[in-house]
Amino acid sequence: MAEATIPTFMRGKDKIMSLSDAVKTFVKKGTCICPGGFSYTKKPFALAREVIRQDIKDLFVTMNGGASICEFWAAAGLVKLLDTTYIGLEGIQPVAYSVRRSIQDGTIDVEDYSNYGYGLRTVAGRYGWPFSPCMSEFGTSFMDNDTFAKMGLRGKKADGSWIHPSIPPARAAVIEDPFDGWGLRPHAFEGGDGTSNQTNALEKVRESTAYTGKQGVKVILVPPILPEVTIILAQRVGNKGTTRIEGILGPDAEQAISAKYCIAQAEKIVTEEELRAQPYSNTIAMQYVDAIVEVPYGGFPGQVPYYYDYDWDFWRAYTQINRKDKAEVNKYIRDWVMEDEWTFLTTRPGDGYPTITGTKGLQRLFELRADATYGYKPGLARPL
Amino acid sequence: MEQRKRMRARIAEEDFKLSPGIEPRESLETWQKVISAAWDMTIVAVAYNDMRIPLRRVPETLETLEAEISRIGDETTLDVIEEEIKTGIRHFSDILEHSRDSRDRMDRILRATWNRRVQLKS
Repeated sequence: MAEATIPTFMRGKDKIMSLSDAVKTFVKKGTCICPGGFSYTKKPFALAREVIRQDIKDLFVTMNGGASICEFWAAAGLVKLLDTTYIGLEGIQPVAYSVRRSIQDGTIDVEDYSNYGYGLRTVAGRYGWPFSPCMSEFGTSFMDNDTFAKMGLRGKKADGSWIHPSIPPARAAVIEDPFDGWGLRPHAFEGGDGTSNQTNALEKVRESTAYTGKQGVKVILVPPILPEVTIILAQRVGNKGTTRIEGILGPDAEQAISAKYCIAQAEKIVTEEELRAQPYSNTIAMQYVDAIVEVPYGGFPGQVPYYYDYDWDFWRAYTQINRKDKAEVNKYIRDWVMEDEWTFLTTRPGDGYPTITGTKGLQRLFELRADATYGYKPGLARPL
Repeated sequence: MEQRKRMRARIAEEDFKLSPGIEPRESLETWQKVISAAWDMTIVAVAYNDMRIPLRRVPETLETLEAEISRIGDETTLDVIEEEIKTGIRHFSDILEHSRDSRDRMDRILRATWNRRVQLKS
């Protein structure tokens, strides 16, 4: 691997680290951090818990796809800035309560993008594009709000450097479509366009004078995401960093490649040879991964496809706990993570919330094992 | 330069002529059956290539687990192991059964091919 792709402080060192060392090395106070995974699925919770153990404050969290990790960090009072798309805990709590409460009381300042707009930001980050074009935020209030600009975090300082290296100088930009709406649906095919997506109805867009004061087709340009650290969870990671993700990919590859550093949390570290037997099945090339930590069951209480399902009973209980007094929730989350991950995994699953079987620790974790045929546990009770 | 000359000489006008239609010596149905079987075996071979190394690792990890059984003090841990092994037996038996069945049929097809070759020669 070309040495230029390895951070100077990591040259000659093994990428395989302990959970504690990986977080200590790459995550600092105020770091712009991007958690991978989607919703409850494939979230690197072990790394997230370690951030809480090390009490790393003032985090700038940038993320797509659900707020489960951000919820824990917000509960622990570690988040200062949030750049995101939605902050739900899915069906069980449509708005993650600790995040919501911190935004309402001014502890967290949030910049909001549409899901698609943010997704395109990760694509721009992955490919090194200066921006991605989209139209999904037209007609919404997204374009009227710019929290980071109000906070004076955008643009350059007098010496020409960026005020914040992970915050673009503008939230978005609107331009006239240089192709005059040629690519928009419905297409001008003979007999009409049979595609179901008619959201960008050409005539309406063409008639509008919004945003530029002139009639014509407009396009929104969204900037790439440039996190300092992305944390991801993969089922298998090679000992040099090649990463194989099975099941739903979410934005993991884009976010990992966009970032300055990437920490891969693995269910199992394997030989590179094993993953290179089918190189096209791998998700992230080794040069994008700076640190590897092996934490089996480290995705608990979330789901890792084909390995284990999420702990519905935990989330059901947690969404009652996080509505308690803010200080009480803060204390709960800090007690919950315990002193290290192994102690956590042998103690906390099934602890402090009711389950049908009443099992705890690793017994509870094995109870959540997925059926490899489906990728999840078909018989898992999910009572509301 | 010499090589380019040779290349130019080799690509003569008659090289571009298409072959006349040839009467098929085998039916399309036969070829479709050959291709279908070959593709199915290839799909399995590609998937196997991916699991080749983990599969080789399984006997070793099972051996380690077997040695650990005598040190287990909690019956619920034995429950977990039992459940994992039963699941493993289910999947591996399925793999074994279909592999054995396919392997037996391959032997039979080789014999049938040889028989047919003898018949065609006589």
